[in-house]
Amino acid sequence: MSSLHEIEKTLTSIWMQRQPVESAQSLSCLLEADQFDADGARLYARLIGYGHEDVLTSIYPYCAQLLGNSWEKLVKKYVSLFPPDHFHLNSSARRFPQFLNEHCTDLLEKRAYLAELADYEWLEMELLEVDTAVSVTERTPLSDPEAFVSLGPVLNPTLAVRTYKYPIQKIVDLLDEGKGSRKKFAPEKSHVAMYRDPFSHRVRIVELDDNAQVLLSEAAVSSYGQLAKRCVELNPERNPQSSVTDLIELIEQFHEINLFVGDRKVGK
Amino acid sequence: MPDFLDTKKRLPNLGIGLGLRRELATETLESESRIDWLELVPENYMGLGGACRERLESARNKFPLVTHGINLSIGSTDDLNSEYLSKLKKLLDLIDAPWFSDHLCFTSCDGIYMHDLLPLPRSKEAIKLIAEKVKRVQETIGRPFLLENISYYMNVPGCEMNDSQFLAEVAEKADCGLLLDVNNVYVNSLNHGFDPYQYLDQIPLERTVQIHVAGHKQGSEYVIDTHGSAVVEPVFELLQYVLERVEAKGVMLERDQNFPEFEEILLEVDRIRAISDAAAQVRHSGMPPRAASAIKQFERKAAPAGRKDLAEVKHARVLSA
Repeated sequence: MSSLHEIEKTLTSIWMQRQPVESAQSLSCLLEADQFDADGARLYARLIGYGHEDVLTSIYPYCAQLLGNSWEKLVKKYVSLFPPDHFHLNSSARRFPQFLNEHCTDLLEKRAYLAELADYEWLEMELLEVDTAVSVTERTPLSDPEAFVSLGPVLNPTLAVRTYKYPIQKIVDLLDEGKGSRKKFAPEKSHVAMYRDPFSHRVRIVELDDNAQVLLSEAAVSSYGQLAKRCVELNPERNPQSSVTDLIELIEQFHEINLFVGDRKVGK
Repeated sequence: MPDFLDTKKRLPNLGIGLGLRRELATETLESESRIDWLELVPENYMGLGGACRERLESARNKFPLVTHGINLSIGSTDDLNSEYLSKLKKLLDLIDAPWFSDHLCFTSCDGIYMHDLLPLPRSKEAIKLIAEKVKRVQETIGRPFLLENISYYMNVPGCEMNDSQFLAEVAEKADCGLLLDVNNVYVNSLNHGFDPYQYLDQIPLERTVQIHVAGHKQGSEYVIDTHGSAVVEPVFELLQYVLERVEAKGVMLERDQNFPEFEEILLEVDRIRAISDAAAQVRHSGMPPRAASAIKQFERKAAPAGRKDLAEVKHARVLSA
């Protein structure tokens, strides 16, 4: 008689489509071939397979759109190499960008941006669910010169900034318009800030230019005044006053869209 | 008398409930006058923030809550997942659930989660393993635990007994409660050709704390437990049969997909309430409970199930936004 573990292990292997249904006959408890419900086993294998495809398609709709008919096969390959290892269903999709990088060199030759696109899609999923409370506090107007020097922004704690080799946001926008699935994209560095809005709980995505990315990366430890100084340094050809005016506008925008969620006092 | 039956006496009577689903959350949370309590899938809330957290907070401010898990994997030979238990306990403590439940199945093996409710070999070895694990779960969580009878589409190798015997022995040995899904009993009776009333007579109904009522779909080969259709009359009859014999502390409707107008769902909740009230009168009056109804047997066809049928079977929703 097979042990419980042996039976579960064999069934898991069949249901995860790692071995054919016929292999169940190897279980020593099955003395006669007709004892095993092969149709039932195939049904479960299909159900489980559809479940995996559903979750991957929900989380990576752009990758699925790009790959079209080959998506289903790719999901199967992913699941066979990276089987779900966590009780949280969505988590089973988290290693998909890694899978693309490590096991899909042929795909990446055609669409080199695919792994970055998958990273973008996973990040959005992750930020939707991350267990981080976001509270927005009242702020002092930047027109107060003292506040400009003694205060700095509080960043939305869910904020994540990515620098990609490809124009991922542009690719996403084109796919949203139903274009771009056949287009080739040349490398073009891009920065994307993603965070969860504290009120709608939706993920907001902001494209950043090089300077905005630098300023945002230093914002958590800088006063508004220090950011202004840095902004002037980053734009040596520009009129300093214009640079500071633009920065103040950017700061106001970041507060408006809850990328900044308050002010903090900065030690001298 | 087993300890669990004493525990059951002390549990609150929650009344008639509904499963909290993201798609129906707004209407559900506004229907306190017709819904007494809510059941939620803990995996959709454990350790998650954002919209999930807000929905949980709204629900717990308005309704008593219990959880119905899908990935405890009580029948797996894998050890209990300590991260899972720790997060589940935290959630249950937050909502102060009077009880919690999961399925009599396995969902993982050797660390691989299949994210489906998978049938077990109904063996003595499985019963022993499950009983030990249930005891550890109850000790860790510190709240009464219920196991639900699942719908299943194959008899896996290694079965030494039928489903009712298996459920009965697990419940007795583990000394836990039952979450009796009358739709699953009905669906299984059709797919596997047994008498659902006989099944109910063979399990320790007195351990039933909670009852699930749901709809299903007749596929080309199997009857599928989709939770995506209206509840059929034979399932209501099974509910009445049970409630005329034992008191349940909560009865609820599961509707997970193919959502109709919310009023239709509320009308089904009303119907469950009417059956529950009438059955309570029978129990209290000392009148004899009704006899079993005749059930039409489903004839299993040879054609394979189509993708459309199967695609409707989902046990957990994907995105939480």
